[in-house]
Amino acid sequence: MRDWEQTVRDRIGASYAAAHPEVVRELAGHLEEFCEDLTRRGEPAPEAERRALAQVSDWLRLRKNLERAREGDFMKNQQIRAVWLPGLLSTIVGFGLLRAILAIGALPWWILQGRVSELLHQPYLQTEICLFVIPWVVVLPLAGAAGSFASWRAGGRPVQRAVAALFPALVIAGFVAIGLSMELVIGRAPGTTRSHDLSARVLLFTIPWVWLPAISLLLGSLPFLRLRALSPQPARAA
Amino acid sequence: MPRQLLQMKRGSAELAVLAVLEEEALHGYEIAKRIEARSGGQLRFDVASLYPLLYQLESRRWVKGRWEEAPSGRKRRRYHLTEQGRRALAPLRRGWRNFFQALDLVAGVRGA
Repeated sequence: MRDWEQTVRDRIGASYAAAHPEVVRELAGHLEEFCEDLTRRGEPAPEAERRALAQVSDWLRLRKNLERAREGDFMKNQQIRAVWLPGLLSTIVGFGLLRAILAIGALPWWILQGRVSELLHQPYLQTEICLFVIPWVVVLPLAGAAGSFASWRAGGRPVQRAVAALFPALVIAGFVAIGLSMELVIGRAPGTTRSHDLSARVLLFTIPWVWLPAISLLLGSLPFLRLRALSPQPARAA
Repeated sequence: MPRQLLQMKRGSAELAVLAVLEEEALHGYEIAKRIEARSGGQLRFDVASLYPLLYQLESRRWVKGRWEEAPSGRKRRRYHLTEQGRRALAPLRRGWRNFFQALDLVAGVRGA
């Protein structure tokens, strides 16, 4: 009598079979019962085996379908747990910190504004950058660390942890992109802004509001990028 | 096969499996036999079509499989419908009923 488990193992691939012995056992059980049914009904054993094996014309495809079926939904959920939710956490912490700095900075604003204005003569390096962005960038590693840690806890890969940490900077970059597109579509009165002026303004805006925060967030995420992945497995029945 | 047709086929297979599991818990081979018998041999599931579907339903938590030992000593995985699966079955049934009613109005499939 044929060893159906061995047959399935041979055809579905050794590595898959080793990782999923319960799937091999289940498929083998099905084929064996099918074969037994046919022989009970008078089919000769070789013919019954041939018909049982004919149930799967392409084992590689079956293997892919099984993998997709067992892990497809898991992957979707995993991305939500390892990227989107930690990213949301990082964004909330990041903008919460900015809100706190704005609240604190509002008090001495009238004192500091005059002093900062005296020191700065660059048209694009405005006082709010010194008052709000620099303190924000200093504390932003906390937000990056929170997002990255949450992603690691959810089994996120290093890339997913980095993306989760970068969310606040990505949100601002998104707003800049929308604003820029609107400005390009709506346009301006001829002669008021040349295109290189616009590029310079975008660059000078994104350095303090996107690039520096991004670096700061990544710095905060660094300790968690090096941790070994927790790699949770999809839910399986016993 | 066109994508819509594939999706229809998949949807009908889900309905068939959930419907037979609504009555009682069955293992894979029994599910295939039950559907074939109930459909007069029109619907057939083989290993290649049944197990990817069962595992997908399980990953959605619509069905749950549990290993059991038969009196013969053979271990088999018996699937039962979960509460979520039961809830998912009702709109599936309704959707297919509406679909066939609409198709009947257009093409007179019931009398054909």
